[in-house]
Amino acid sequence: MILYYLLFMLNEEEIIQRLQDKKKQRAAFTEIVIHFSEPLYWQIRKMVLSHDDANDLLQNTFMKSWMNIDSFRGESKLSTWLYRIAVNETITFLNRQKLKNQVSITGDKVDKSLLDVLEADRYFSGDDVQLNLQRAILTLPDKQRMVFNMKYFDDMKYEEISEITGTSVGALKASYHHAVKKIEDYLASDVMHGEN
Amino acid sequence: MNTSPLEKSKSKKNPFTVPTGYFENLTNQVMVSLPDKEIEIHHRVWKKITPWIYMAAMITGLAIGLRWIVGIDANGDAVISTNKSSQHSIKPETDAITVEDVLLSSVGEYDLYEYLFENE
Repeated sequence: MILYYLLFMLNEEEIIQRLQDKKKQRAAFTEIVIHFSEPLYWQIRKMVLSHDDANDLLQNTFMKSWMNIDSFRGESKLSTWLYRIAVNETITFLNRQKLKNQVSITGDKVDKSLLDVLEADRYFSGDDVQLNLQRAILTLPDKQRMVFNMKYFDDMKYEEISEITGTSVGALKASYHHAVKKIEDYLASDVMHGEN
Repeated sequence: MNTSPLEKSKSKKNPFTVPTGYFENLTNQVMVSLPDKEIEIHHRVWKKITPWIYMAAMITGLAIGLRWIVGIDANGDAVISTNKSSQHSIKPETDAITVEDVLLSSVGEYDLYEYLFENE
């Protein structure tokens, strides 16, 4: 699998060229799906938490990419372009869910509707520490949560995140450090409550 | 060394799981759901030409309606009489306007009414 990823990185230019050719487009897109489905899935999953929602959003992401592939001219990296579509799909979905459930997150409160989704999902096998971490992450606004996930779990570079989200590196650094502080405070207060 | 709860959590494995064989079948599942681009192109072309087809149908309808309003002579030529007394005449006259004249010129509906009222 690692060898396949390396080969893809070397062939990205060639794949982009094949995408411009109508006859080779579908085969080239299949390679894109093979390469990006897993990282995109995890990116979406960490945001929406439920497997079924993540699967639907991933399908929508690839559908949108396929329908707009002719407009992709290689000005940005293929991965950046795909992540951007996935991020937009996810944020739109979360906003729609919030409107539906009439949820608004203010202060340090956990997004209760998403926490319910997580606790009901049969594909979550985390222990108490991991569940608590997810609770703490759910106190963050969606965009900050996304930045935190990209940096903390995926070790993405700020420059990469900046290209995907369209936010400056400086603002991202500030947002991440603020998120870490908020999560650590939440977890520390939880430990104190546990001890008392 | 004292590690923060956040650091402790990072070392643990991914708590999210997927159904068995999910990633193995994912590519196939995605590719099957994607529409054929050829069909999509035809659909787009049809979408683009539809307003023009509607416009052509409207013009044809208008031409037929106009032909019916001005009347048709024995030879099939539409005639607009120049004086009131010969309004019902079916004889073609030299300064009469035919449907072809109206369609080929840039005469608008308003010009036509003006022309009719002038000659009443």
